[in-house]
Amino acid sequence: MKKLEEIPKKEVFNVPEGYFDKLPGIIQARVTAPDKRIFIRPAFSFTLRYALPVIVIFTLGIFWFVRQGETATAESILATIETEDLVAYLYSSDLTTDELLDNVSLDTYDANKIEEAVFALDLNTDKKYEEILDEIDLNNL
Amino acid sequence: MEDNEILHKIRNPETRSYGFNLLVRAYQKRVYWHARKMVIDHDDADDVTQEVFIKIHKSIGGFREDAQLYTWIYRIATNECLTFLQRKKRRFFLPIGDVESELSTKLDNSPHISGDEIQLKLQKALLKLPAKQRLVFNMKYYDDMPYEQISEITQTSVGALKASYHHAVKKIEDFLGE
Repeated sequence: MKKLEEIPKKEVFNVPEGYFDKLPGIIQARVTAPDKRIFIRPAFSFTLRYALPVIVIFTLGIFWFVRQGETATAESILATIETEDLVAYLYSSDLTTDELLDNVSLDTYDANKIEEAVFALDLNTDKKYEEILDEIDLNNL
Repeated sequence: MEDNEILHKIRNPETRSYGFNLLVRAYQKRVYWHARKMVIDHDDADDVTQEVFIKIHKSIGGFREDAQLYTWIYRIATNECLTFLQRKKRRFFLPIGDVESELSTKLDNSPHISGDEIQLKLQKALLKLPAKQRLVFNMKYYDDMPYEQISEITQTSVGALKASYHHAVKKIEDFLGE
């Protein structure tokens, strides 16, 4: 084992030439330089401390409210559901035709389309009711 | 010039700037070398030294003469070195072992470092010590400072400092023997 006392004490570090001649001037310049930090008036910083979180919460609230409004419309939800799925649901539910008509508003275009589809059907056949319904292209209504 | 003369000039508003300049000239080398042994790199030691004197300039008004100026300056320098190493560790999310290997690489590659193989090996052995133990070792071994003075600077008992130095020497000798 090498003993510490056997190692001669020598400085391994050195500095660039003239470093200690320049250093006092550099430090003097730094301590006499004007303070460049941004000064915020206490009253303003007090207002900012409370106003900023309120503004952030208010903005987030508006954003959330608008998003809620968008997702809450029945049209936007219905638009994402396939027509076949809707028909299957209506078959399986206990809704009567009258109840359905009470809740659905058809414009002239919709009514004409349905009428055309019905007139195009050949009802003088031996086909079952379900087979006739299958012939109607629901997506083109 | 004596410390009390320097302090007298600093306290006089007309000679404050001149007095502070005298203080920097009187202590710059001791502060720099104290920092340099801790942070290894010249540029880092330069930053630490400047920060130490800026802190001294800000707080010299509150310096009480019941402590020695020399001890007070050393305490500020010691705190600044430890803060610098802590900041370095935090900034790069480095564990202590990686700070040691970074400083060890600087020993091999930095300009302004010379010395034979055994001297460099001694410096690398020192980097294996915890920062506070390294500070104590440097003050005792390189600066020949009495334990009482180190105790004032580090606010640690003389007994604890003796034990710390003894353990540091043992660890260093173990490393040198590998």
